[in-house]
Amino acid sequence: MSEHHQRPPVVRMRGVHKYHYTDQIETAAVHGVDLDILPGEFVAIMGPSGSGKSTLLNLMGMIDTPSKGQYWFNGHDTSRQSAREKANLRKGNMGFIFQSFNLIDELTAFENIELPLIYLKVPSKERRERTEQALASLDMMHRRDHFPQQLSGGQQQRVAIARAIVTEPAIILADEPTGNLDSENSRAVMDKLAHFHQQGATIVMVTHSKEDASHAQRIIELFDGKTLLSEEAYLQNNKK
Amino acid sequence: MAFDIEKALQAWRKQLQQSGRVEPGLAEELEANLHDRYEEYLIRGLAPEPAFEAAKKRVLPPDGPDYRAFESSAQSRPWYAFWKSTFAFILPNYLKIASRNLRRKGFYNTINYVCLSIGILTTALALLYLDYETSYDQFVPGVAQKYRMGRTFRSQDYSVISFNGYYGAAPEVQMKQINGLREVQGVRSACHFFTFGQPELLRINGKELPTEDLLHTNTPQAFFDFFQWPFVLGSAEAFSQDLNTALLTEKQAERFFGKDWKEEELLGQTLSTTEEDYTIVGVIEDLPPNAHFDFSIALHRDKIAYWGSRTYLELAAGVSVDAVRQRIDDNMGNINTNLADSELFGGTILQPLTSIHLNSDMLYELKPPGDKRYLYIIGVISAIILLLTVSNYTNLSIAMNAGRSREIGMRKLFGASVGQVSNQFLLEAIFLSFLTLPVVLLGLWWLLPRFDTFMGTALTATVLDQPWLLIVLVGLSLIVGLFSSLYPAVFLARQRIIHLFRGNAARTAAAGLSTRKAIITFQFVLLIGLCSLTLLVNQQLQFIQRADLGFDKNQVLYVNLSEDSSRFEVFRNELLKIPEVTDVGSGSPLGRNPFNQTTYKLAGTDQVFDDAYDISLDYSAVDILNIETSVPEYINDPEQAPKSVVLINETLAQKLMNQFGLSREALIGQTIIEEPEYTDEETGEVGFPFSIAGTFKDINMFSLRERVTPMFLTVYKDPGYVRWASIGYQGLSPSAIIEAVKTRYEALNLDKAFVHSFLSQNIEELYQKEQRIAKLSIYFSLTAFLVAIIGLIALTAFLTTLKRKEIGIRKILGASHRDILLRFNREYVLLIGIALLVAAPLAYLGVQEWLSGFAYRITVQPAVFLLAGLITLLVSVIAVSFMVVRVLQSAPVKALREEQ
Amino acid sequence: MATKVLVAASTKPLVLSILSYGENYGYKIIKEVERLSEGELEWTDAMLYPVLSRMEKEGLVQSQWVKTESGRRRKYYRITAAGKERLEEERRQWLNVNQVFIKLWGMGTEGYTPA
Repeated sequence: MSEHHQRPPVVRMRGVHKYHYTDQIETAAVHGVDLDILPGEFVAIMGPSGSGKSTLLNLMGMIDTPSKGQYWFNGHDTSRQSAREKANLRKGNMGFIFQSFNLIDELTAFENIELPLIYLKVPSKERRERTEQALASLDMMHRRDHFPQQLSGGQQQRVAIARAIVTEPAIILADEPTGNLDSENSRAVMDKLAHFHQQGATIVMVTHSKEDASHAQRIIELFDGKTLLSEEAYLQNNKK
Repeated sequence: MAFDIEKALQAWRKQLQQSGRVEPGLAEELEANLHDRYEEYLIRGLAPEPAFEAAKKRVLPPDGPDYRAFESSAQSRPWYAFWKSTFAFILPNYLKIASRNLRRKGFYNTINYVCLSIGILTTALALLYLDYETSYDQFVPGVAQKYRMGRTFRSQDYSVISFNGYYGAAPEVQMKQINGLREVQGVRSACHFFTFGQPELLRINGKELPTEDLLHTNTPQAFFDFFQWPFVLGSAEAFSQDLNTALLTEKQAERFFGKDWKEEELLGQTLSTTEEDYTIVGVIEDLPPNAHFDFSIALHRDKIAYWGSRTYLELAAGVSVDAVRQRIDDNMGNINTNLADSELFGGTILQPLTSIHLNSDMLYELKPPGDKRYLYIIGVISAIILLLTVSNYTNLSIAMNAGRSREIGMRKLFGASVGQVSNQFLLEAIFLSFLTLPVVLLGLWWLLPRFDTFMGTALTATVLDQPWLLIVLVGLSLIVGLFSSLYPAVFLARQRIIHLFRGNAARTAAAGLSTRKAIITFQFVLLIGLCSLTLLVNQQLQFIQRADLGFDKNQVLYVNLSEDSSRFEVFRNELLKIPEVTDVGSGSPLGRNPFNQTTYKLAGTDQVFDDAYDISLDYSAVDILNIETSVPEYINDPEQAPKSVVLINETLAQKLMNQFGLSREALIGQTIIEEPEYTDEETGEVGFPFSIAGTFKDINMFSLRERVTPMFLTVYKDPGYVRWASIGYQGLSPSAIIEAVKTRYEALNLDKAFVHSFLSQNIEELYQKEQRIAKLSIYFSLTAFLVAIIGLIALTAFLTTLKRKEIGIRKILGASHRDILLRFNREYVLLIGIALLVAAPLAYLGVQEWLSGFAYRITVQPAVFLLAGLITLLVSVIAVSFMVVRVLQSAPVKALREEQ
Repeated sequence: MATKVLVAASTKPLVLSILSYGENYGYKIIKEVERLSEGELEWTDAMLYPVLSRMEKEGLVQSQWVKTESGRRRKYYRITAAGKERLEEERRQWLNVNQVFIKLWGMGTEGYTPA
């Protein structure tokens, strides 16, 4: 057994298409994307509205299934998996951050962050430690028992980030994480993401903001559901 | 021939399946492995076929199930595995969310709570009632082998077996009957008794009290062996050892000896009837209310003072009931020669003890029999309420939880499966439904005594302190919770994640729209059905109350006299001194349950009929009852009337006229021979002939369930013996007339209890079951409406909050309140229309089934269903409009500013 | 050849250890064990698969069917977080036992002297 075998890309897409059908018109939201994201990368996906950014992110998160093409997540071919298998694969391996936070109103900040760990069957003591650690790393300890409605937008998003990182996922998927925030809070959120990236997290972020994208190592430009040249060049470079 | 690996694999797979050595899921994996091994051997240089053989051996050695040895030594799933399951991990989180949701959406949850409580409560009540009604006599040990004997005589079935010689049967004759039964092969034991409903004056311990339900038996030991009533004091042996012994129930012991009767020297005391003395030898527990008969005091006598007895048989295990019945008929000569010889005797009936209450349709039943149809009705109505409850919950919960799509989405992202998400909603419903338990228990505690008084049951005594009641309630609330949330749980959990994060609550709520409409329509169907049922049942009852029975039922009082005519004359003259008393008569009381019919034929013809009732009244009684006859001159002036005349009713007159082609004039004066099967041994006269003196208009002597059949009415001047005196009066309140009559009665010093009843009251009692069911259906319908309306109000409230913005915009654009109200109500009008079309035929069929039990009944008018639909519509419109108006009254700007 | 009892006890930790290096499928696992034990441990397929399926039920491993380029299907197993935990525990226990044997059989530096 070799200790140093190559870690597979976290995300590998080949010829991925996604069609939407509305009123008998077929529109391609994603139109033949080839993409590799390696462990430890911080990638920003940019492009005009309707270019398929969010759809691509949903496909990565296995929230949506490609109409055509293949997607390997962490070396697993997702096209062969049942919903249950996908749920299991997602469990603990993906962290999601949304523009609208999507915190559960009935749960406190602490409980929101703790929830994914419960699904991972982490024992309660360890759960508390890890949740508190995540809270602390986002400077939210003082708000641990507040409900989402009692928090500002920036605070809510920080809780959401804590919830995304608490499972130490293979990848963090962020969909316009600063879209609902003012510039000050945006900066704070981006600093946090950059911080987690430095500690080794793999992040894919959809964004409109050039400033936010500047934190990423690599920018994928989407236009009409296709990646622009830069990505092809990247793939060429990475070919063995 | 080349080796085909695919074929070889296929053959191997087949063989494996047949051997059953490996479970199917593993077989596939093993096959993949086999292929690998095969390739390995190929590489090592083996030819394909030997390579496959070798691989086969490696994969699954033919001799060694060595993996089984491994299996047994490996751990099996430990008992505490549940605590390691995801469910156990997530459970506290579910409960937390559930309880926080309860508080946050307090209004809607309160409504769900109330509805669930009502639904579970009514269902519990109905279940308890059904259980009670079907539990009759189940407590008797070895009840499966125990039967009551009945007999068919003429065209009727009797629950009383007559003695050979009726009243006159000597004790030996009575015992011969029982002993004859005991000798029949297959009969293990036999006993008989009779209970007397009429109160008798008893003297015990210096107290003289009228006491009902005395029991006579001359088979005391067998009687106790059969029913095994538990003793508090004394024993069955003491009761059977000597003649003229008595047993008291606890209730009677307390009545005669006071609360501390256990302290008294009760055994050995004397019990005196007006005729005889008995020695008290024991006290037994009160009879369970769900026994098919009741008695207060059992008397061991040498002779049962009646014309027959209630006879019970215990059969040997494994014998055929029908064979035993046949043998009894064959041996009737040794049992009752009278019956054996009678051409009217139609055979013995053996009725399982447990089927007496619900399935008996015999004359002279001991307790008013239950009616299976009423069990069905109560079952159906409570099921309707339960369905309403469940659908209410479903409806509200789809609407309410639409706002939780974000939560569901997040859970699914964290890896929750569809099952886990639905579990959460199921759990929330079950949680809420468990919370209703205290209310349900409290409700039962309050409701049961009232229900008992109302329905004549004894649920309070039999179930309220039973531990299984709690188990039943827990089970019930579990089921109700499960069913209520099944649809919303699956509906919400099945949503794809991508949809869960899109759109707002209003749109998701709208997604469940068609289902919700279907549910509301379903609710309307139930409501309209129930409402029309209630209307029709009550219509029939009104019909009963207003129906012309052929006699005046008001202001007639019956008093038990049981004296000869001279005493009656004295009593009558005394009563006539009361100015309000119009007349006093004697004869058969009306407003009663069917009794035995009699055979008859027209003289000079051969055809014998057996469908006539024979009653007698004196001229005064006919006058008091205002029965219309063809001989009014006699009725108005009895002085000029013959000593007695026999009139036939219109039904019989028509029957004879049609049968024999007679005119009315020709019929009058013809001779009818009653009981033509009887021949007087001395005179040789056949039957009891009389001539038809006239006719009278049909009267409904029994309930309107019974069709009027042929009837003879003997009208006489002087009674020989008067059991019941009938007193016509005017202008006195019921209590005043009773008081006035009682004073005169007591002045006669008759040494018996004063028993009285009003004719109108007797008739009312005939419809007790119907009255109960009519009232119950009203209560249930109101409850159902309450539940449905609460649900509708809550739903409208929810939908209007979602549409506040829409309402606001419409108002700004100039829509009047009327427009908006119409918009909101229009959709329900259509749904009610559809519901009406579904409900009407169903309700029609149901009510026809019920009405078929009445010989005289209303015709069902379609208008009733329309009325039910209108009532439902009206109530719904009021509820919906009420909620919409509340929104309308708030300022439009405020509604617009609200973030949805 | 190892005794059945020893095989039974060691199968689970061995499987977990192999999977801790990455996903793998049944046949390869057997081969790997054979290779590492230099043929001493010869597992039969019929023995291994029930073990794997039970380990999956216990949540120690996860599996998925994968189609290879040649078109054949293989079931790949992957160790889960719970599996890693279990492996750590097993490792500790086996090392303990190993320590004792080393001392008993005088292979270590601190030889065993009977009391």
